[in-house]
Amino acid sequence: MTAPAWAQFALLAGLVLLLAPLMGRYMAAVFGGGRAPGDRVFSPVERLVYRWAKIDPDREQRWTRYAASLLVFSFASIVVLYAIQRFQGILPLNPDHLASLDPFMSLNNAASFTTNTDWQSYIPESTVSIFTQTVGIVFQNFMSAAVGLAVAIAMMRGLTRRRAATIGNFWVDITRAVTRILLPLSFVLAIFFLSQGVIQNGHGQQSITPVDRSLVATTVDGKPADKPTVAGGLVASQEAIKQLGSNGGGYFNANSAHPFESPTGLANFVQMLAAAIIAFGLPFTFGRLIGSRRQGYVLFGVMLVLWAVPMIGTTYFETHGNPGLTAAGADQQPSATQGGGNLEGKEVRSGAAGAAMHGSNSTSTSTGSVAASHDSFTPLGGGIVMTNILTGEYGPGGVGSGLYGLVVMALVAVFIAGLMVGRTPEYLGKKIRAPDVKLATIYVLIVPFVVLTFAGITVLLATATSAVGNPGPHGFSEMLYTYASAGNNNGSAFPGITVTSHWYQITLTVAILMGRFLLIVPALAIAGGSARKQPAPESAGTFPTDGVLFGVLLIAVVVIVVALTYLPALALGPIVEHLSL
Amino acid sequence: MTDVLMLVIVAAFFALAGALVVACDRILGHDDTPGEAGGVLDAPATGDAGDASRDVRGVDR
Repeated sequence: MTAPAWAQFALLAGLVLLLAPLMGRYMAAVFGGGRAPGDRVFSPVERLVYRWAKIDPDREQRWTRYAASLLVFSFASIVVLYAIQRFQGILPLNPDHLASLDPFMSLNNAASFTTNTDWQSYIPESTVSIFTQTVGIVFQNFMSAAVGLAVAIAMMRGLTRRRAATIGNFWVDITRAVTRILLPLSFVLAIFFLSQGVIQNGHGQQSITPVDRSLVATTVDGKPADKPTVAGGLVASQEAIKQLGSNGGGYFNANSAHPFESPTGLANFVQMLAAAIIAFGLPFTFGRLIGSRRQGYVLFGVMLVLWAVPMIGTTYFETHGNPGLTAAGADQQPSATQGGGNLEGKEVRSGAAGAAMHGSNSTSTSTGSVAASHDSFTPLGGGIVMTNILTGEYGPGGVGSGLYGLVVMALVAVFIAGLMVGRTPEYLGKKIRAPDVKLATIYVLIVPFVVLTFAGITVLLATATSAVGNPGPHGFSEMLYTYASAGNNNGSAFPGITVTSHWYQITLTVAILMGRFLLIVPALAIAGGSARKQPAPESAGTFPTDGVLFGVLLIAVVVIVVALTYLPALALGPIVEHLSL
Repeated sequence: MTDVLMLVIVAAFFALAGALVVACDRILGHDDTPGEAGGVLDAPATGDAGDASRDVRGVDR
């Protein structure tokens, strides 16, 4: 890694260390139930929402009702977003008169944005209107992040309550998540993005005259072609929640590589920070709400390691360039005329380091935004971002999903530790019993089942394999990455693959839905079961979970589970591709 | 017609997710270890959304 790359990484990590505790403290106040900053402003708004939606904020829910509320809300969200896309042609704010989307793509998009995946199998600027973007997609950007946050908070309540039947109120939790966290932060961030040059207007496609006339294309007859066009839109406001909510869906096809989404190196840097800050703040919220900050520090430390190591690795491989090009004599060293490294598929304003860090950050945070083509990363650089996704995205993971996923893995770690050393499996004073382990097992197995099953079947289908952009191991990587991204609700892609066929649209929709809701249900069940338990006093047989040893064990469990599950598949893709260079 | 098929797919998935809720509740229900989770489903709710911190923060650790 170059010195500027190390400096950028150190600054990013330093800001995470500085801001995450503050974020966690604020979220603890918001969800702790007592007085919180901004009550005088937000409480009246929330009361209006409760009155309009007929929500009784004082009525708590059992985990089953909490889960049912979440599923009903999400089902309704998918239906509404589907309808918006299907009626796009007759809805307002459509300056380019774009047609309605076809049913398969509408379904895929509706599932994708409702689940915080934001997988996009279409070119946004030429496919969806401003109305669809703003009313349909941005609304889900807020709500899907709020749902993840709500589940994480419910998990915290479940782990700390004793002999309680309830874990909170889903409707109250998502309301407070939006009004007190996502909306205010998005507003501030959108203003910052505007200052960097991110656009915010109601224009459709506009013809432009390039300063460089050589950019005006010519027809086959040698005559000047139509003037190039550029798309407008409400980009800055969408960009803010795209990152803060770990959504990742771009206003433009090039996502954060597009100059209207991320015009400067500073904008790229702040996007990375924004994508990580809520997820990194949640362990501190966890520590405060359970009354043991050391427990939160351990989870934060684990997240930090799982975030930093792959980021350094990806940046290392991308800044060192492509070994194949080096062997061919290409100059990939930093100089006065180039930033150096593997610049294929990257924007020079962010360089190999900035693009690699963005890629690693967005796959560690389940965001899925891209500042470069991940398909053009070196085999091992691309393999690392894919492994970030396959790891389950706990470092720090998506908004809420990273925290509750890591807590489930903590239960697995405690159980394994108990088996190894004969200690009683306990976590936060609650005994880990067979039902907890069964639920955690369901949680851990769902995504590998989805990813490997669909990727395996797809490899056998000639029509599906013809959609990949490259032969051999790289083509396999494209397919594996696609289902890993969908099943883990990441949303980024190895864009060499074309996924507009009905096979991909339907199977990706199913993978996306399973990867979200079939994980949330057992997570909430664990919370509900834990809330009912009576904490047991610590004894000599209690394995401490608030120290470095447990942190190391937790990292080992995450890595081993991923290695056992996915190493054969990774060997067929990025690993063999690297060895063949 | 295709729209109906799409909605049926989504509805079928959420029915599956609902079934998983029931299945998970049954898994929890089988935990009848004395002093653990069994038999407390009828216990009154502790706290409410407005004062959830009493529960959450009240754990004596």
